[in-house]
Order: sequence, then structure tokens, then C-alpha cells
Amino acid sequence: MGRKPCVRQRRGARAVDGYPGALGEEGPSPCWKAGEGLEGDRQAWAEPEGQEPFSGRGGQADPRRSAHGRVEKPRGHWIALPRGDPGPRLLRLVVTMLGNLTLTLARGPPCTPTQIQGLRPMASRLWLFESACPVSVSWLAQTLLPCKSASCTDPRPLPENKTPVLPSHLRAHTAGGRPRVEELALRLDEPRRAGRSAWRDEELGRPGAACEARGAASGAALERRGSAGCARVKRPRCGDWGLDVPRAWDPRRGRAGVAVRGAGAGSRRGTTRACGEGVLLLALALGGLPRAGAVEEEPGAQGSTEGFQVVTFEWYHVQDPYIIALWILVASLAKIVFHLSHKVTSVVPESALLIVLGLALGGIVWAADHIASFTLTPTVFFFYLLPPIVLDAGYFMPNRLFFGNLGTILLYAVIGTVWNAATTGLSLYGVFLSGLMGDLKIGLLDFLLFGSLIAAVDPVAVLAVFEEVHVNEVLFIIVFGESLLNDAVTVVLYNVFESFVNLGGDKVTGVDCVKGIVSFFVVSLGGTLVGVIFAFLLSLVTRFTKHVRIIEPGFVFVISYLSYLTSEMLSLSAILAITFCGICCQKYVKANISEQSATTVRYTMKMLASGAETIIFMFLGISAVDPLIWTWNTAFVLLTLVFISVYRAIGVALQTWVLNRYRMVQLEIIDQVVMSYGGLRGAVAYALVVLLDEKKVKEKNLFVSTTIIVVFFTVIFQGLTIKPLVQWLKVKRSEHREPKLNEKLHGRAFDHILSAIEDISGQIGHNYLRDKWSNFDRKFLSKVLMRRSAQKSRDRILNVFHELNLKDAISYVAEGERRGSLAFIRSPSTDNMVNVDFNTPRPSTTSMEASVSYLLRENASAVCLDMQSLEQRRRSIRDTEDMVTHHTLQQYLYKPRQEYKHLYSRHELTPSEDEKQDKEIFHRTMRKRLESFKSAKLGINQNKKAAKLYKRERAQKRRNSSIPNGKLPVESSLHNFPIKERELEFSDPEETPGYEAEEMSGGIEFLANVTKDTAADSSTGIDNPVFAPDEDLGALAGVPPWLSPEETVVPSQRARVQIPCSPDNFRRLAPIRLSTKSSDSFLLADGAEEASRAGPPEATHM
Amino acid sequence: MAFADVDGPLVIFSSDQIEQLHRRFKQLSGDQPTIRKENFNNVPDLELNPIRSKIIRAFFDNRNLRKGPSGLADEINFEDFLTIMSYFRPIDISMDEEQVQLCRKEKLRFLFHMYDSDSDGRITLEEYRNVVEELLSGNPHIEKESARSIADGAMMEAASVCVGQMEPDQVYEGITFEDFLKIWQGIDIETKMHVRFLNMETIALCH
Repeated sequence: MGRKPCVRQRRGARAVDGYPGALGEEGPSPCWKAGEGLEGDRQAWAEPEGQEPFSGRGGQADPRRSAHGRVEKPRGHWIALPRGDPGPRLLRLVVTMLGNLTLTLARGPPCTPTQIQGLRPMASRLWLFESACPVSVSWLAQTLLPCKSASCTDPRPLPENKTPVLPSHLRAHTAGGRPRVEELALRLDEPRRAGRSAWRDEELGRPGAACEARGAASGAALERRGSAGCARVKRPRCGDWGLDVPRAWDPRRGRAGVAVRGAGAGSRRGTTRACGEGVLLLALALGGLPRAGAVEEEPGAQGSTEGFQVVTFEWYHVQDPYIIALWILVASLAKIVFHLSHKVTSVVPESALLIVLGLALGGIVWAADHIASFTLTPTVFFFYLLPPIVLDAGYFMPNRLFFGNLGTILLYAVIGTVWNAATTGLSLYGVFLSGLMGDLKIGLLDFLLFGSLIAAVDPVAVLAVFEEVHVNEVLFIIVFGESLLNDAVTVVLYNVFESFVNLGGDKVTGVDCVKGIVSFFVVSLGGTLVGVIFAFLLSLVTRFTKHVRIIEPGFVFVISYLSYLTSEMLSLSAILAITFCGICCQKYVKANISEQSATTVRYTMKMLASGAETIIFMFLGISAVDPLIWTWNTAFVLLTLVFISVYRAIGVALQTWVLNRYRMVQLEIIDQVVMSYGGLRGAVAYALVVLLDEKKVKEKNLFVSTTIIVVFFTVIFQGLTIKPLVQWLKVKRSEHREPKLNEKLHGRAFDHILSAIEDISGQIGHNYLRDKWSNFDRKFLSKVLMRRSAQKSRDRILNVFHELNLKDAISYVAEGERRGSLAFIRSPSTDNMVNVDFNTPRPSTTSMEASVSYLLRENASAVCLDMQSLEQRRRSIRDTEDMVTHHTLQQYLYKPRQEYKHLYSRHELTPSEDEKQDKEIFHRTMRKRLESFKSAKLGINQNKKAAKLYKRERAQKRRNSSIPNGKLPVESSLHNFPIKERELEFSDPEETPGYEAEEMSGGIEFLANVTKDTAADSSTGIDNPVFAPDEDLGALAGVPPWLSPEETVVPSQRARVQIPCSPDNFRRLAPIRLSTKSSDSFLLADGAEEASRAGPPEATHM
Repeated sequence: MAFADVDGPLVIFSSDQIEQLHRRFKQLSGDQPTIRKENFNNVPDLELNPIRSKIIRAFFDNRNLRKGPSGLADEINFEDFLTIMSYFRPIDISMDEEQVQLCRKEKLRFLFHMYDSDSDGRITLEEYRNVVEELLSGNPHIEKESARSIADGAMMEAASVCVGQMEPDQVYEGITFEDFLKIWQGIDIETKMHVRFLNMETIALCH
């Protein structure tokens, strides 16, 4: 058609066409599309949301129509050029309401912005430049812009020839004498640098009007170009979700275009930033696929521009999210690469590596683009990258440690930060006065402002580095807590000084200073309060999410994020808010949400935080590659580095000196060194410095460069050296220990003792407060905020106990498995038959995962025995035996779960039987523990023989140390027996002379029977005797095995099977014989059978 | 015992602290020279303490008072009171390694005595259970059985810590003080078991 060339297909085509110079531009997202007549479209422009102006026009590749048929606001713009009747005209470049550039051709008075908005008044004068006639960047640069910049009051008549200024190659493109449509890649790019300062100002109401300036500046720039009315406009774009900032016409863009014009050759030179981003990134990540794709697309596009297109290349449509996703991918891949070499990551902190990577990537981008395409914008940083990290920190904060050291942390955070800011700022100012820095346009307030933003220790950097160093927890919590809590101080100092700078130094009054101090309390306490309130809400909400388990984790994130935004909205300390939200809610949330949700929350949070961290450091590196921001002043930069290190050390030393007079656990010199050295600066400082208003802070660029240097120095150099330093100083490291029950119990006892002592001696100390708080918490808060069921189980001691039990259970199963006995439970429900027919070929996959316990650990639900299908085939005895097997299994293992593969539901997960299982496991391991303890504890009364037995057991135990030492079955009611009685029970059989033999008789002989049977009909597949015998015996005899007389006639397997016994019967008796009860003897007994049954049971392993 | 050799209680506390503690002592005793068990019931904050009885008992335990191998005192005077309090003094940085060890041992002994209610030098299962039950009695949702189970589990753990060095035919009878020390290995009790004794009177919640 030619009239309606698809913008997209054009992109990149030029390179192929052989006009690289002018047409290197590819893929601007809000592009200019010249051609498509305004005449036809003006209605649409008037009502951009309304009808679809493009709908009837060839219909292909409507840029505003997404793949989903959604109509978006027009992204680009059509430039109309005069047709026919030339004559003196006024060409005018205007910015529409939407932020688009449009070229108008008008007689009469210059139009006002209002007129332009809808272009209605101008409509009649706008002509189509014949057919669609897109314009290249260079063309625009050459002709229009100069023309425009002549200003509208001095209209320049359009030359007679309508396209005299079109570059020759363009003319070559014309068909039938008409210039062909050319995409104008001039992009209304977001003025990243300019708009950057705007965000906080506008959206957070933070530091003053600072940022308006840049936007205004760009506006001014536009005006200079002669646009009658230009407005800096926010232009919402589809796909703007993160990296978008208010857009405005970027003056640099135009400049760039002009500058490039002459250069001609390199196709990349004239690229817009957008395409630079896109292409480079894709080139990086996808090997230049888009270009190839574009080229591929081209012929089709040219050939059949009219009509429906089967495939269109919708780059603009996905551009932003795509680029973001790619960046994240690059960062994540980089992480993988880093960790390929353990050597590197063990020496160099990841954050440093990421920064270096960022520098490299930034260098590539810059080399390709000559523009810093990506920088870490404060919007993105503060709104999207920082919250996850801080939330993660708060949610997993070791509360006890944190509050135990709260005083210290607060001192460092508040006094320390103020000290750092003041001393750094003042010292720099002093040096400046001495003239060492040369001539800078900075006043005292600017220095203080700089000091305040560079003073704060950065949580992200500290976390990243300290996590790898593993210093002891007290040290860690102090440094990390400080970095979190100093946010309030930083925010206040920054705001105060910035407003002072804006006011001008001489107008600052004492009242303002007082206000500043007041605002500190408001900001910090307010932020904390917001956090606590939201934590309360969150806890309350999760209490009632029982039936919407699937979205449970969402609440945690959404509500905490809301706390961040809320306090940002109220200009309180957002970091404090989200930190305290995490800290306060963790207990209740963890208790309320289900196990799976808790896991989800944990992993998601970690993923988000570590992803955000990765991106932050990478983008810090990328941001540094921008010659425009670099202003070097050796004295300033070096002195800043020196001052922040020195004053940090001095500050720490002074404060520690004070603190040590009050602290129980003294902070030693070594700790102080690490604390001083660990004062890393990071992205927060960078984001803050970028927010500065260049108009007010004249040396902003110097500040930015210095901040970058400082950040890089601290993160890379100090991060690199802190590990050796810690090793060299022999700082007490954190140790990871298994949780011990005793430890927990004693710890609990301690808490109570200490609070009691404080009560008695009449002191109010930590313990007193903690005790009162925990009482309050237990009495009121937990009742309100926790589910009833959760209140029960939320006891730390109980938790540890459960944990240990689970571990035991797993190792128990692992042990049983190791002995080659549990193999059959691996068979999934589909081949239940395995137990029946060993000839059935096994799925090869099962044999690969040779361990049940492995499966259990990896994926509990994978161990699946289909009870239902079993139930149905329960006709033959053989099947009943299967039943027995299964019930046994059910008793011994985590309950095999039914898998509902076919039932897909977004709202339900497979019903969890965790609770029951836990309980079961709990009870079982309890019994085991008890038994083995009893043997230990009560063995005192045993005679020699018993001791001998004990010895054997011990030996046995040592041999199979991984087995939890379960021994004899004990009924749960047994707990009520007085100890003596049990003693009796226990020693009874041992007292009997023929003990050794007899011990076998109950269990092992019987096992032999079982195995014999098993072998005989190779049916049950029980090749581990552990699993059936005792139970059946118990069920039959109704007496505990150790009480059963040795003559007990053991019924045959068949006979036993026939006797109806409910699973409940089984449950009561838990014969765990596997471990300590002389397994070798049973192996012996087994061994006899081994030969005969070698074949079939083995099959289960395959 | 050994503690007294290191520092007498009067040396440990500053005169301000002693004065303050003395005031408190008198408050508790009702201006009597000695305190009896009943006096502790006047401390309202103590009521919620699940192991209150054990703690109060510890105040009157002859072993803690260094007055004998077992038994309970009926009443304690101020010096005894200080002796008990001195178990909770923080570790001084000026102490050398040996003193720290000694101090640590003293603190642990206090705890041990609290567990070992029958003064036989062993924490038996029964005793342990008792303590755990009391400890967990604060949470009404934990059944007694669980508490017992936990005590059993803990005892098991203790046994496994100590049994490692035991002869095979040895049997585990209960936690002795040596075992107790073993269990505590690696846990720096010094940083845990201490109370800051203030110089000023901060609270007077006694009636």
C-alpha cells in the first residue's frame, strides 16, 4: 500500500537497504511515524481514547493495538507535511498533550498549547504529505529542527519544493515521485537524567521542588526550538511498569540527533537510545536476533503492506518489560557464572563482581550507543529494588538479638550517622576553604548535604558483604541494624539540608533547625508506627486465610509493601516502616500461614531480595559509565574517601567507649575495627545524590561522581578485604549448630530466671522488659493475631523438638532404605502390581532415584501409594497382604500421599496431611527416644545380662550410628505408667535366662517366617522384615511383644492376614525393631532366607 | 564455693549497688533482717513466672548459699541474698581466663542446683521432666505429655552427648554436673546469665 507502512517492519530495514547513515535508528518506542494523514486521524487525536483512527486503514500492525486487541493510546505520532499548494507557511513543531512531537503547518497565529492538544483548530490546515511520508531522524535534524529553532515568531517559509531538504537517499526511496514513508525514529525518550530528579519530588513529595527543574529545563529547551507550547508531559505507556519515569522531551536527544547527522556512516551512530537499549541488549543476550528478525520481516512488509499479516514483529509492544526481563536474566546468569568458580566467589564478594560486570556492560552499551542507556534511577531503586531487600531483612530478623542490642544499634544509627555526616561535611568544607579543591561553587550547606547522604551505611551493601563473611551474630546485628535504622536519620538530614540549600544559606533560621530535629522524631517514630500498624494488619489478615491458602503468601508481600508506600506517602521513613513491619509480623505470620505458604514466603522473599540486590549492584556499575556525570576533583574525591573512613572509625571508637560502660557484652577492639571497616556505602547514597537538583546544587555532578567512587571503593575494596581482615583479626565467627533441645530448654529457663532475679532485685532491665512483653504477647496479642491452632504449636522448644524428630524420622527411613528394605514403596501407585508381579518392567526412572529418603527429602508427595486403587482390588488375600504392607508403611513413613494430578485447581493445593503426619512422627520418635533413654537411664538396675545386652546394643548403635535408637514398642498410654512399673516391664524378659535366644524368638524368628512366606509366594514384597512382624504379632496377641511368652505361636502369614485388623490396631503398637535390637541377628535370620528369595525382591530395586 | 574465693559478694557489688539491693531487701522482708519464702510472694511480677517456685527455692538452697551440701534454709539474711545475686553478676573484662572459667562454672552450678532438686548430684529424668513441665506450663496449649516427651528427648540428647565417651557397659543414670558442663560447652553462658544491677532504684513494686 505504501500509505501505511508498518512502522515495525521498517525498523532495521535501512541497514539492509544501504542507507545506514540516516536510518540506523531502529525501534524507538514512542516513535514518530510520519505519513499516515493527520487529516484522517485528527478526530482520533482529539479523542485519543475513543475510536480507532487506524482501524480502517490497512489494518496491519496497528501500533496501538496490542496482541490482545487492546487499544492503547497512540504511541507515536504522525507528521503531516504540506501537500500541494505550498506558499509561505509556518512549520511548527509542537508537543501535544500526550507528549508527542507533531509537526504542524499553519497559517495564521501560532497555535497555543491548548489548541494543539487536540489539534482540532489546526486540523484543516494540516495536510498529508501525500502518501505516508515518514521522516528519518537525520532528515528531521537537518530540516525541521533548525527550522523550528528559528522560533515560531520568525516563521520560515517552506521551500517550494516540498522535499528539498530530504536527504538524497530518501528521495531515492520515493515511489512515483513521492517520498516514501520513512519512520521517524526521533523518540520522545524519557529524559532519564532530567526526569530522574523529578520522581521523588512529585511522587513522594520528598525533597522540595528540586527536580522540577530538570523537567522545566527540558521544557525550556523545547521552547527554544520554537515550539509554541510545549509541555512536559507524563505519557503513560503500556508496558511501563518499572523503569519508566515521567517523560519529557529530552533536549539531549535532539542534540544527539543533530550531532549525528553529519557523521553518516555508522549505522549505530544515529540510533536512538531506545533502539540502542533494545538492540544492544538483544545483541548481548540473544545474539542479535532482533536485527535478523527485522531484516527477515522486511521483504514481507514491503511486499504486502496492505492486508492482514500473519506474523508481525511487535518489538515496541513488549519493549520495556522485555528489556527489564533481559536485564534480570543477564544479572542472574552472571550470578551463575560467578558461582561456577568457587574460588572466585570465596574471595571476591558477589556485589563487587556484579559492579564490575555492570561496568563492563555499561561500557559495551556506551560504546555502542554513546549514551548511557541505563542508569539506576531513584524511582526504580526506591520503589522496586529496595523494599524487597529491607523486607527480607526485617522478616528474617533475629528479633531477640535485634532487640537485645537495640540500644547499641540506635546509638550507632542515630548519633553515629549524624556524627559522620557532620564531620565529613565540615571537614570537606574546611579543606575547601583552604583552597585545596580549587574553585568550586559549593557552600557549607552543600557540603553538609553531601555529608548527610554519604554518611549513611547502606543496608544492601552491608548485607551483601557481611553475609559472606560470617562474623558473629552480635557484630553482624549491630552493623546491619545500624544500616537499617539510620535510614530515618539519613532521610531527615538529607531533607533538612536540601531544603536549606534550596532556601539559601542565609535564610535558614533557628526555627528551621528545630523543625529539623522535630522532624527526625516524627519521621523515625512515624515510620516505625506505620510499620507496626501494618504488621498488625498483616498478622490479623493471615489469621483468617485458612480457606485461601493459595494466596496467603501474597498478603505478606502486598501488605508490607503497602506499609512502605504508605510511609513514603506520609514522607516518613519507609525503610523503618517495612523493616518493622517485617520484624513485628514475623512471629504471627509464620504461625498462621500453612507450612507450604511459609516456605513460599521464605523462598519468594529470598528470591526477590537477592534478585533486587543483584540488579542494584549491576546497575550501579552500569550507571557509572556515563561521561556526562563525571566531574573529577582529586582532592574532593580522595578527601571524601579518607574522611568517611577516618570519621567512621573515630565515631565507632567513641561510641563504643561510651557503650561499653553499659553493655554486658563488651565490644572489643577487634569488633570495633570490623564495625568501622564494615561501614559500606551503597545504592541508597547513590540514589539520593542523583536526586539532587542541579540548579540548586551546582556541583551535583561532582557529588555524583564522588558518591560513585565512594560506593565502589567501599563495596569493592573493603568488601574484598574485609574477609581477610576478619580472618586475620580472628574475629569470633558465627557458628552454625544443630539446634539442641537442651540448649533451648536451658535458654528458656534462663529467661525466666533472669527476669525473676530482676523482679526480685527490683531492676528494670532487658529481661524484665522482655518478660513483661512476652506475657503481654501471650495473653493478648497472640490471642488476637494467631490462629487457635497456631497458638498451640508455636513454642520454640516444641519446634526444635519437632525438627529433631523429623530429622530422626528421615534418617530412620534412610537407614531402613539403606538396608534395601523399603524399595517397594518407591513404586508409584500405577504399578501397585509390582508387589504382585515382579516381572513387570519397572519404569527406569524409579531405579535412578535409588533412595526413598531421597525422595522424601526432595519431594514428599512423590512417594505415593495409591490406597484407593488398592482398596478396590482387595479381593484376594494377596492384596490384603498388600494392605498390610501399606498400613505398615503408613505407620513407618511419612504418610504416602495421594496425588491428585488430574485435579487442577488454582485455589487448592493437595490437601495436606502434614499435621497428622507430624503428630504421628512425633509420637513415634518420642517412643523411640524414650525407649533408648530408658535403656540408658534405667539400665542401672539391670543385672549383668542386661548390661551385656546393653553393651551389644551400644555396639550396635555405634555401628549404625545413623539410626535413631528405637527399640521396643511402647504404647502412648505408657507415659502414665510410673517409672518403676516400666522398669519391670523392661527388665522382665531380660531377666529370663535364655534371653539371647528368646529375644529373637519374638521378633526375628517371626521375621524369618515372614520372609519365608514372602519368598514363597513372592507377593508382599516385604523384604524388610522390620515392617510387618511386630505389628502383626502385637495386633494378634494384644500384648506387647516383650511380654508375650516365648511359646507364642506365631500364626502364619496367611492366617494373620485373615484376621481383620483395622489400621487403628496397628497404630497403637509401634514396633520399631530395626535399629538397636541386634539387627545383625535379624540379618542372620534373614540371611538364611536370602538365597531363596534373592530373585524377586531384588527386582524391586530395578 | 569457689566463687567466694574469687570475690566475696561484697566485693563484687559496688557500694551503690549494695545499698540499692539492701533497700530492696528490706522492702521484700518488710524491714526484717531476714527473708522467708513467703516474702517472695509479694513480688507481683514474679507471679507469672512459670518456674517461680524453683527460683525462689534456689534462694534458700544451702548449696547455693554455700552452707552445706543439701537442704534448704528457712530464711536468708542480706548477705545470703547478695550471695545469690552475685551469681548473676556480669563477667568483668578484667578477669583472666581462669577466673572466667570459674565464674562460668559457678553460674552453671547454680542452674544445676536448680534442676537437681534432691541434691544427689544428678539430674534424673524425673527431675528434668519436672523442670520442663514447669517451664512449659506458661503455654496452656502444650499438653503435659508433650512436655514430658520433650524432657525425655532432651535427656536422650544429653545422654548421647555424654555417652559418647562412656564405656559400653556403663549406663546413663542422669546428668551429673560434669555432664552438665559438657552439654553447655560452646554456649557462652557468660553472656547470658547476668543481670545488670543498677546503681539507682528503678522500681519499687512491692507491697
